[in-house]
Amino acid sequence: MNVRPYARRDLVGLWRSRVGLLLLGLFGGCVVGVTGARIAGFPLSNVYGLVLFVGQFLFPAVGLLLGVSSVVDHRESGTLRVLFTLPGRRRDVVLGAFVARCGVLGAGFGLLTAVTTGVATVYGAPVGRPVVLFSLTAALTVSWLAVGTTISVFATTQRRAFFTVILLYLVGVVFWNTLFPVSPDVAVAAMAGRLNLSLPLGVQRGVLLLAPGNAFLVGLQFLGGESYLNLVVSFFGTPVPSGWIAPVVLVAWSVLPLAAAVKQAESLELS
Amino acid sequence: MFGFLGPNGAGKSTTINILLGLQSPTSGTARVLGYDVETHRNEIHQRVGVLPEGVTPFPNLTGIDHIEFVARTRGVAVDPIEQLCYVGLDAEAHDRPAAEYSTGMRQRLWLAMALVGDPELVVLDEPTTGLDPDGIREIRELVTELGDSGTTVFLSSHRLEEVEAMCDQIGILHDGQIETTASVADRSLRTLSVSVEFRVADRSETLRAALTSQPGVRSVEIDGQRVTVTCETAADRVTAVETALDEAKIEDLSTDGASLDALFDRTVHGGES
Repeated sequence: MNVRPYARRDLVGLWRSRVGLLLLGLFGGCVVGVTGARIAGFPLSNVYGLVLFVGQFLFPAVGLLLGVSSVVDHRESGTLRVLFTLPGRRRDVVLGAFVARCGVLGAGFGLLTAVTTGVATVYGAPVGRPVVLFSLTAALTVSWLAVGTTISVFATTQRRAFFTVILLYLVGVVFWNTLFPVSPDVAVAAMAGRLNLSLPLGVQRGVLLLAPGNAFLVGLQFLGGESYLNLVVSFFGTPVPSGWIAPVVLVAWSVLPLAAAVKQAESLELS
Repeated sequence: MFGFLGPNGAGKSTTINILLGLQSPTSGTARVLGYDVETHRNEIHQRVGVLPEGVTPFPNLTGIDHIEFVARTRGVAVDPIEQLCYVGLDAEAHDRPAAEYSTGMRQRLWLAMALVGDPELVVLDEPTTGLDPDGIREIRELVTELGDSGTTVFLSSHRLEEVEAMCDQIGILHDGQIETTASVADRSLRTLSVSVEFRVADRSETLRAALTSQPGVRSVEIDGQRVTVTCETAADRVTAVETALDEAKIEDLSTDGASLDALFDRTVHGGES
């Protein structure tokens, strides 16, 4: 595998583009916000809560938008022809774009984690929490990045890719991640009832937990403490789903779409 | 150097796409440098450099970034500045984003990228499209130099005079079929004539005698001050012009029917020039 040259090229391109500036602004804003909020007297748990609720909607959008530009832009501009005639497998082009974007996100979340951990240390708060919170948020973002990258490989035009991303965001984030957990026993059962299905509770919960955002919420129990466990219970009821569902589901949402993207890229016909 | 010609819609781009592994053939097989295009795509890409037609380089990358990127994918070490200077890109352009490059600079950049790692075969798809006359001349000189150095060049172009000036072999594609392959210097082109027309101030009959005795001249027609000379090849036409300059005062001159032009016309339209 020869991903490195492609990843490096994408990384340089992103860094010098408006996308790089926007991401710098986003993560810089988060760093200033977290630090400023604590200095202003807000407890760090409140700051985490804010990050958690805003982040579960904001970062999937960031991941999708970042991923959707990865391949289809090259296809429209014609540079994909060049990339596909260089030595190396086509999967290297796709994975290189993905790895570069992961690098940008990793740098942003790394900065955020470092600053928040520093703030927690100064104010005597548990230092492990920001690491867990931002690791989970990064994994959530990367899973949607993988989905965005896959859409970018399958789409033939930027416009189609963009509309697909909006649709997927509404279904996969707003609907699956927000409406269902409000009252899962009612929502999933009602949906199943419309289809004349009688789903056992375990299956209903399984359907819920397959959503990346819900898996992210289940993983919050790793932050430790009663309040975070209660938060999980309020969404998913008892017995409390295992926190390890989070990494498994989020990794699956990264690996499976990427596998489909690589397969599609290998057979892509460029006319 | 192989010139690949054909009218719009003949299948030139599709052929190039198939040879580069960008499209699969609906039937049959294709080989490049002995490698099957479907099963040995990567081996081909290791040995082939490509100058694509009408593609904008990566906008946020500089010229140096482009060369370094291609060098890394090929696993070779090159001096990007030397590579860019070789194709005539000035030093001030090396560190500028490619988005700011003119069409001519982009073509030079693509050529520099295609030449990274000294590929065995270079595919040039309309390399002079969008260039001004100076740019066309410079790219032609570079490509000719490349061919002289022993690199195999596959040149797709709709400019017949370009192919005639640079290539040793030509292939004319029509309706998806190679209708004609020929050496630019061989007899198949000599069967087609080219002509030159002079307007002379005086001595037209003396000129007729001198031109008629010249090898390669098929006919000389005189109509008042106008002398039309039909020759076998473009080289004979040049000699005819030299002869005419020695023998008479030339007031005006025009040429017609480049040999390749005639061959193309006969292949595609079934006509005789």
